Amino acid sequence: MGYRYHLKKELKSAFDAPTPRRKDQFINQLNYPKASRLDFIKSQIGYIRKRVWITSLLLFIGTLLALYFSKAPASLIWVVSSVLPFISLVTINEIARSTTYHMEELEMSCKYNLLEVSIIRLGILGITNLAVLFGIIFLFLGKTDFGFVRLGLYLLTPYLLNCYGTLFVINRLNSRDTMYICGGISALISSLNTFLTIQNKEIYRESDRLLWVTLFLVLTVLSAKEIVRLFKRMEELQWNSSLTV
Amino acid sequence: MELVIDRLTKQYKNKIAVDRISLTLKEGVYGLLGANGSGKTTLMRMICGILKPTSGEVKFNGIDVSEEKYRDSLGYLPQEFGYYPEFSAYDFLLYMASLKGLTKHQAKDKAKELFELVSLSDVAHKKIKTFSGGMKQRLGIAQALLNNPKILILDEPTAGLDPNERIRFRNLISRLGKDRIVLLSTHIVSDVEYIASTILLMKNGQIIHKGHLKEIIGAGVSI
Repeated sequence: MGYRYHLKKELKSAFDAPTPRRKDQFINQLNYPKASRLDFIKSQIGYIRKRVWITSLLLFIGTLLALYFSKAPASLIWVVSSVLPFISLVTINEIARSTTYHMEELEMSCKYNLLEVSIIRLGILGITNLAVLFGIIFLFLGKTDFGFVRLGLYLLTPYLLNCYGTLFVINRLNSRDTMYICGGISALISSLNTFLTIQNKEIYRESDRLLWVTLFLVLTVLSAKEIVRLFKRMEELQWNSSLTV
Repeated sequence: MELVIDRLTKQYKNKIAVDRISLTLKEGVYGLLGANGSGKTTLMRMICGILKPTSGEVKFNGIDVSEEKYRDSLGYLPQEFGYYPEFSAYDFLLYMASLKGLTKHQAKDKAKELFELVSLSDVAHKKIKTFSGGMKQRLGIAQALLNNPKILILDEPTAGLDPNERIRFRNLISRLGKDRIVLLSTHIVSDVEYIASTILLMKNGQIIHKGHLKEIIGAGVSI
């Protein structure tokens, strides 16, 4: 061992190593292992802004505390359903972020392109929103006489109305002001929901169930259509006069 | 290594932005010259797969422009690009590297190397919104090189660069063009005068001349 080490040392001192030739070309030819799709999905979780997680967490903890201390838990349904449009606003803003900040052209040219990034964002945020919504519904289940379906209808209808409204605007306008318009829509839906429930205390009665189901289904279909439209827009840069240069 | 553009056309209603362009590009630097509105950006966007052609096709070594494998070989610098406001230059490169399929470790190494190459190492952790136009442009060039692309498409890459930066950029492009296809558009002849082996002259959506700059000047072609 000592002899080999000594020999190596002697050889090193006796001869100068030749300078590498075409080193850059050689390195360029090497195919480094790339990140897997799963690695990519995991990396995208880190790029979802903290405010998304914080608002979802705050809503859940707020509901938990309010239900714990409230003497009339059923009256809290309208409060939570008025806050949920803002959760949908934060989520949709996150999905449409590339368009808002004009990153779409760069992202469309990448290996994992804008469409894939958006679908992954939607998947991650959709799962998070569903988890929060189910969590809230289960909290209410133990405290009110409403069943799972009715609670789902009352809580999700304003949320879906906001999804549809904000996606409608995002799909038709293409400027940074879109964010503010979407914020206005959420505020309007939230206020309207509050106003209607305060004005009409009987809004959650059993006899109106069909109306709620119809509204829920219509808004689900409309929101789904807008999501498909948004994804179609992400397949290709949208035409405007600047694209002719 | 061969990028084949076959009868590529883009039509918007009654306006033909790119008109039946056919080209075969091999390793080297290609300068795309033309006046504003000649169709340079539309052509480049179709080569990058972000605009779908009305007809025709683009293939790199037989791989269609719509495939993920094609995009894996592509580096693109758009004429104008945005950024997320909370990003520092370093965050931006790591984010772009994740979209280009680099592992976190590779991304960090590559980002460091590219920051040195474009002289942004000192400001790597500063927010992009504090950058000047030239610094943003250099950052754009760095992101285009992250995946060591075989096809490099640069739309007006020298816009916003000062004279020294332009010289450094030309040297960099000359080096890069040795083992990849580099297509860069400009309306400034001096940008491509010494580095482009072939000049493609565009007018009204068509390539009206292809050859060395001297041949074009000799032919007396006007754009």
